[in-house]
Amino acid sequence: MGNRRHLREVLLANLLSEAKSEEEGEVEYEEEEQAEQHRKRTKSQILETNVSFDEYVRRSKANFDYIKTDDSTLWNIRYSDGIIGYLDISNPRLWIFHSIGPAEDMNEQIKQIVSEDGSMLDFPWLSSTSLERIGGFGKVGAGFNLKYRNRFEDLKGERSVEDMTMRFWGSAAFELIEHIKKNERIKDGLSLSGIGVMYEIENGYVKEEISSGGRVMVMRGDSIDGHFSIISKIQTYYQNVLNLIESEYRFSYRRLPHGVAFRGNMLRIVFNRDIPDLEAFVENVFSTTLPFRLWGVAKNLESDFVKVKAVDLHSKGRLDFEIEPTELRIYLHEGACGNVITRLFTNLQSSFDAQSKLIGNDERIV
Amino acid sequence: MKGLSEHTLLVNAAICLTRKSEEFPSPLFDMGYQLECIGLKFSNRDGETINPDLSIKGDLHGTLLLVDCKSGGVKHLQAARYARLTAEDIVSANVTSMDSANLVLDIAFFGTGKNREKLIEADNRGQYGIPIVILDKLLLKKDVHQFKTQELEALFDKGVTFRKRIPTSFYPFSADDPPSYILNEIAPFLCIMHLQNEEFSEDDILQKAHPFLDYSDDDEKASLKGRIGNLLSSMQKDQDYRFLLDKQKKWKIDPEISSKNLKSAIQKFIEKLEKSERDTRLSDFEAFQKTPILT
Repeated sequence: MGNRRHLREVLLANLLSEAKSEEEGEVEYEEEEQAEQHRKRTKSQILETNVSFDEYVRRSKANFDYIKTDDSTLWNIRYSDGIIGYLDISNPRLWIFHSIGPAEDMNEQIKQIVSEDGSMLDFPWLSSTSLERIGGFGKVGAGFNLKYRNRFEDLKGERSVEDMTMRFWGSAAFELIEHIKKNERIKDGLSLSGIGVMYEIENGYVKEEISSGGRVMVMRGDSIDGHFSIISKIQTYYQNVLNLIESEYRFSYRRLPHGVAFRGNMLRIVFNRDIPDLEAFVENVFSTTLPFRLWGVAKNLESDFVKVKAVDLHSKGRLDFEIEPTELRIYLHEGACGNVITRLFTNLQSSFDAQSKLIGNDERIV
Repeated sequence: MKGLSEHTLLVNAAICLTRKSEEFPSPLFDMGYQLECIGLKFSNRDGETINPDLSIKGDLHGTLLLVDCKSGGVKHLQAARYARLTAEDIVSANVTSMDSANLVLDIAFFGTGKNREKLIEADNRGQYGIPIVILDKLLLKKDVHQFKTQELEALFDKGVTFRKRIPTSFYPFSADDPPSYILNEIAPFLCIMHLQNEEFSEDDILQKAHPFLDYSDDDEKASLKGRIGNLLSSMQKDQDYRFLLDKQKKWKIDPEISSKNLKSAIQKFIEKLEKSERDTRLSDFEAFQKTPILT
């Protein structure tokens, strides 16, 4: 693949042929999930990065080769003698990995890229709230996936919210989400892991499935421009979130001859329900493991007020937490990446309280 | 709030007043004041060092507010320098971006209920006339003397109430903080040094953990360096926490230890220090109780 015109042709041809094969074959619902992993849909993974492409390639130890094209911001990705995808780095903060291979292969490749130590690449973390916002990019909803896994279920005395999964495809998706939110028993677990969007542009349409990890997959449609357009909208939305976090809230210091000028403020994640056991909560969130990837040491300042000094193991950025049963206050230190905030928030929504809010000074960030 | 010094708590509380917020009191922000510097350090016209914790400018009011937060009392020399300090000193030292014409200089000592008596005693002895603002639990209120600026006087005379626990993370730590608090504050640097497999000194840690260090007074700097050195030495010597390697004038975290185990080890050492701090406080209390009552 030599340039963007070729990329467009390859992705469009695949999009049209996949749509045709889907119309021809009828698959039982039970087989759907399994079949989906093998399907070669046109799909694109957004990747968040803090390093230049050259720096990334220099650091990376993964077995991928990057073959240049006529366009300096577009690269072929080669693995084991085959081209497995195309990397678009025209947005220096949010790259796009396009693929027409099986979904399971792409998932594995992305996992390798992101989990590699020091890669400085991460998923864009689209919280349940963000996915609802992105759902609004389309004229009508097309579906949603819900996945809630209570990682804090063993905390003593906690009101139980059961694990939940649900997949709904149909144009009444948004109405159904609103309906579920009214149910007191299950609303705390109403965490979207994907949203379906019917997106129309002048010359066609695409029906897309957008995951909380930033994968945008064409389920049906006839317009590759529609696919590019919605990716661009998601990039803009997400970049605005990161820019807001990093420009208004992250600490920065300017050394003056007589002192230090300081900028920055706290962010808050406010819960809809109390943390019943702070110690266990802290142990869980700052365990150094996935999905939070936070290293943290705690000090109790009161019986129900804990300060945690933490490190984002992905980017080695520093952040402080002050934790009360009703909220986390977060202080992002100089140089830390805003993506750690969206990662934390997204995973708390999907594992503790789907109704939690990420709040800045007097504004809701997400 | 337990486990940190009055100084660290007060500096954080004062900074909080300048931050935009709906959940925390932000009266100085609401009145148009801006935090101009943390760790201001300059000389007056006599060449004497002035070193308040914060300078807060109010362009709308033509006021520069200097805040000095105190864990204990105030030394006569220091208080006397503040008392003699004038707007002209500020202008000649060029330490504010404010318009120098008609600049009003307001200075305040911030203390807590614990050191209030010491501050008042010092003021009684020296008659400095500098307003003393006291944080008593969640209420920050002026105790004695008046601010020159009417709005500041009205604000602190009425008092500012925090509805939630006071933030503690704008300003990192002071030499007055207990060892467990300081270790908690520097812990992320030990983690990062471990991830990067780097050697480090006490100075390296201080430079990274305390962005305002260069503007602290020399005693504070020396004290902090000593305290961090003692902390690292005691960890290194403790049989239970042998992850810290002594590399002659430098330290290194054992590369064999996992991040998770490093975290657990530091956490346990913090708890050990906390226990020792509690025991010390308790023994002080018992000693006091055992003092014979003179009749």
